[in-house]
Amino acid sequence: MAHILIIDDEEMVRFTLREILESANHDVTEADDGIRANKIFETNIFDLVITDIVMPDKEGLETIREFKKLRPDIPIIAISGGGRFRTDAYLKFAKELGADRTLNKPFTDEDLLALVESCLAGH
Amino acid sequence: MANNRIIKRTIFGMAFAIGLFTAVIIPAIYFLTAYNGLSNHLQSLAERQAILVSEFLYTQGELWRFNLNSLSGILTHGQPPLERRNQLRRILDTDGNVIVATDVKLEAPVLTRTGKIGNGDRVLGHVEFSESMDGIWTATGYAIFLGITTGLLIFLTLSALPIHALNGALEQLEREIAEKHHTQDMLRHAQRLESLGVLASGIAHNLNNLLLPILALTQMTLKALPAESVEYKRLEKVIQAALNAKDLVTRITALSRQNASKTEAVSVSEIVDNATELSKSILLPSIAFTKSSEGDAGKALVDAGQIETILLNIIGNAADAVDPKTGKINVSLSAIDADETLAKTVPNMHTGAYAKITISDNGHGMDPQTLDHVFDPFFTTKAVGKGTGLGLSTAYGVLRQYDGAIHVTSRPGEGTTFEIYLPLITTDSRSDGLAIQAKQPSAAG
Repeated sequence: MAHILIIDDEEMVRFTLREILESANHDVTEADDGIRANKIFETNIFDLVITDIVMPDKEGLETIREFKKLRPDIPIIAISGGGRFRTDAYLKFAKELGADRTLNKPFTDEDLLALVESCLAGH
Repeated sequence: MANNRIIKRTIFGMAFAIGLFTAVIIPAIYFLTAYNGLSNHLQSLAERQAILVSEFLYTQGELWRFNLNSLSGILTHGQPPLERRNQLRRILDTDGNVIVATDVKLEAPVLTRTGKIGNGDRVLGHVEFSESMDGIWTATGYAIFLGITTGLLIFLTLSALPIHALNGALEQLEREIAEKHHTQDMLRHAQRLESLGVLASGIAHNLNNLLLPILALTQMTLKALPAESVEYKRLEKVIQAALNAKDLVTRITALSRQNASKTEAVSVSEIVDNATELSKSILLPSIAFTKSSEGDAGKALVDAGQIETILLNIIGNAADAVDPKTGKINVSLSAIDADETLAKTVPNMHTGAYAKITISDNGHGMDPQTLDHVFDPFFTTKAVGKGTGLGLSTAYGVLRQYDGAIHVTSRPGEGTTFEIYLPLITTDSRSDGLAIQAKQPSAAG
């Protein structure tokens, strides 16, 4: 069981991620943008962060960079449904900024859980 | 007595002088002053109008060059905008002869050239003028205007020529105008597709977010249900629909160059060979399907699978367009060196080495209206359910991704020809891999 922070501006996406992760007995904390996520991250201990890339106010790429500065060992999974640029471009940036794994939306529960387990196992 | 006579003569002389002065000199002076004033006023009006025209032609030469109505407005009313186009005015030549009378229709003027002469700037243009006979207007000549600016002074010269004297020059001008219009049309079309691509990427982002809960939550729910239950089978359909939607989003994103691809240097001949071999299996045997190529065209930096899909799509469209019994489809490949003319004709094309793949058919062809929308997303002439309208728009997006181009010509009843251009890897670019990569769409930002 792990404590996982999920960051996405879409409530439906957060709900889905929570459902998937809780089905695997993980604890989930939600944030709807990078600014709120930062405050939560500074005052809580997490085992894993799952963040969207394209968000209003403060987007995921900046969040990844800041989290990795604060805690270089924190595993981060970046998820994206694309935006002005192609999806793989966002995810490539995310990896360069420190994201351990990336996943294109939409994905299945099995896709996500496989990545989560892999990250938590330190692979 | 003598004194009296002298006095009488003096009075008579004075009366005559006063009368003469009053009756002739004063009116004459008055008349001359008024005439000069009026003349100066008219001259200044003419000069002002000339200055206005010259300034407009000079400062906005390129803008007004093809904006005929606006320039016509300046000439007919002295200032834009043009609201009363049917009102006419007189234009005089350099000798003061009327060359455009008030009852002669003033056609749209055309600025033909701007440039510098010594320290001055000049503008040159013409106005077509016509005469009316029983309500039918016939072009009879042209007024040429030349504006020269020298410091603060601006001169406008007008002269006239009969219509036959300018035929050659005007034909050249018309060609230039047609070319300019064609370029503008191409630009508009490219911008429209570009904006649709941006729109598509925004839609794709939202659809991906919406599809995530549909796909993931339905799959989770499915696991909790017995496989034989009705609910299980229903949710399986939901998942299938979501996967189809995901596939559609992937195809839409190709429009805006969002799709990940495996770009590598591949032989264009091999791509064409693969596509034509695959096509044979889907075409009716009665359709005459031929392939011709002029040797090895060379290599292009593309995703071979994407290009094959484009070719299959166009060949499939051709198969739908031709008569199943008498249909002919030809695929040809050649290496070309695109010149300026071709680069101007085909949108997104530059000068240089390209592989040209031509797919032509003898099908029913397309009218200009259909042709204008052929690359628009979701535009299809096929029956509902038969075509998505994404094939050619995807082709357009994918080819742009590789700095390639696509061009189509067609006439109703005379078949359709698609030309696909892929930039070839030249010896220079091959030795500089970074330069090749730099040509691919940038992911920055």
